[in-house]
Amino acid sequence: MTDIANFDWTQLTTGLKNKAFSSRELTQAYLRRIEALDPTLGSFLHLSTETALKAADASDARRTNGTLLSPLDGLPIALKDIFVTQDIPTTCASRLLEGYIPPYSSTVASRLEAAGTVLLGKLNMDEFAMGSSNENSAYKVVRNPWDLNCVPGGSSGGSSAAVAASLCAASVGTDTGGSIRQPAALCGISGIKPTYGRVSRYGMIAFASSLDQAGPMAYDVATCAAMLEAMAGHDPHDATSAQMDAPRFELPSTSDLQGLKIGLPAEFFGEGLDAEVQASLDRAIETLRSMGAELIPVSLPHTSYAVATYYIVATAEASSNLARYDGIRLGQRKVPEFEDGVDVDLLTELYERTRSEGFGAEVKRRILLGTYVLSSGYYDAYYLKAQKVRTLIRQDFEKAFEQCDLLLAPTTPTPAFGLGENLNNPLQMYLSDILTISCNLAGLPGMSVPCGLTSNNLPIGMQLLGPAFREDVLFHVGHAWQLATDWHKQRPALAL
Amino acid sequence: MQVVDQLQVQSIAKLARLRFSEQELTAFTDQLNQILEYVEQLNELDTSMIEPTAQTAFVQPFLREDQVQQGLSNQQMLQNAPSQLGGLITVPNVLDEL
Repeated sequence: MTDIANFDWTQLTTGLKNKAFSSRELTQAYLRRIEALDPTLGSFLHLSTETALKAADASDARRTNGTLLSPLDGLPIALKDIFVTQDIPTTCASRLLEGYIPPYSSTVASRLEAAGTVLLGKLNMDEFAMGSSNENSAYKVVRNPWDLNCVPGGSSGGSSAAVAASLCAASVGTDTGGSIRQPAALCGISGIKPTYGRVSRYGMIAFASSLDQAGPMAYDVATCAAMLEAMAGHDPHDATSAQMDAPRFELPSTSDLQGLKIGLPAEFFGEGLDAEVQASLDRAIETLRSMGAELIPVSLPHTSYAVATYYIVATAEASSNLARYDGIRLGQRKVPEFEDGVDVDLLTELYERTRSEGFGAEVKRRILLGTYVLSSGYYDAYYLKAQKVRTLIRQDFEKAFEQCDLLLAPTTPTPAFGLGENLNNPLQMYLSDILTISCNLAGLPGMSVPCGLTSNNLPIGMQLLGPAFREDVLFHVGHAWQLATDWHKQRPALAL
Repeated sequence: MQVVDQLQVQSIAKLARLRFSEQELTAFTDQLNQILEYVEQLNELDTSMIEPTAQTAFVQPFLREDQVQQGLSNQQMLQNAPSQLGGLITVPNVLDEL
């Protein structure tokens, strides 16, 4: 069967529809690619070969009977290992959850299954979603398909590498401070973090509850739109889930952006931006102008405080969320050694050993920071202060959206960096999130699409940020961009 | 700039039920200080008249009838328990004497 590596949304769905290939054949094609390429890339933590083939056969049967479940029926996808999947191991890339087999499925997994997708397996990530390079996985590193010595980004590194290397038709990641958009940019694919509350967090292992959001990642905006339609919508199991139905996204048939006002936030450009990233954005701005959009300067004055705000709020919430990993009800319990005559508090020993041996360094670092900023005497100075700055950041966006329909910015300050480059400098690693973080603090939707390649053939991504619940604007512009350009059609040169 | 010393990091670790080696304690103390020094910049902002943002979801209370719904079985809930006996999760002795 023809090489699926270049297949976009139209080709995949048309191929299935016209029976050029079956879902089983498509699934097998991806499984062959996984077998050939993933030992090098490291994007999968678990492969569900048998269940995938069963699901593919079921889809083919539905196609014969004319009972297809959705436009996604028969499409092989993979999920970040942060989504619990019933009877399928889920580890969050942590040793603490090694061997954990969830007795239930997350809403994201259930809805995509109900839409007829085929689940290939679970994808590698930074442990407990904490990281920007996938180097914090307790299991193995993920390599960027564009340059095997570079990181794929994080924390949804496996999700982006798998799509970029054509190991699945689409994946689902999560984004707390940029973890969908940054890896999407570094791997040359499209990804969207929806508005906070758009997609249910039920069964999505929690990092920072007021920031976490699940979103699709794929070659193109069209696939992301179809995935989000299936994933989104109110869920009674998630109290923060917006009381709205799943939206329908109508994509434009032309690249005409006449009448659209795009804001360029001054603080997201200029100093600190890699020269090639800047040049790529400059060219994108010209292209968008030629497509009919009006580009205006805007300001988000509190941008420089976003990283500091995030690392107080997110770590505080994480320290609370990760307190449940105590080795009692689930996970790798480390039983304390009982020595005769030694007076030891067995329970504290159990907690400390389980957590210290189960969590990696980055997780422990963030738990420490979070515990400190919430501790007695410090709550006002740190956490409360950060939540107030968060209001200022949110207000910046509200004011900007009075002048324009959406914002445009680079997604990352640099292209993919080398494996090991930022490992000994956590603060340096945190600063790479500077362009993606504000959007999570404000709860707004953000999308990254490919917009260029560096002279070293590394992808560059640009970001579209929209008002709350206006993913439709992002999809409109993103799809129009992909009709007018072919950056999203570029593929890494991977030999099978 | 030292915001916290090793002793303080030690007590924070205790609160979070974590323990470290000498090496780890030194490294974490250094890193924590770097980060805490960085976040000091938030004090440049006057937020005296600003309300905190606890969360951005525009949620209204979602109520339902108080009816028993299908949940997980005991067996499912115990399937990942590290140690169990007679349908209960076992743990080390917490009380010295009854």
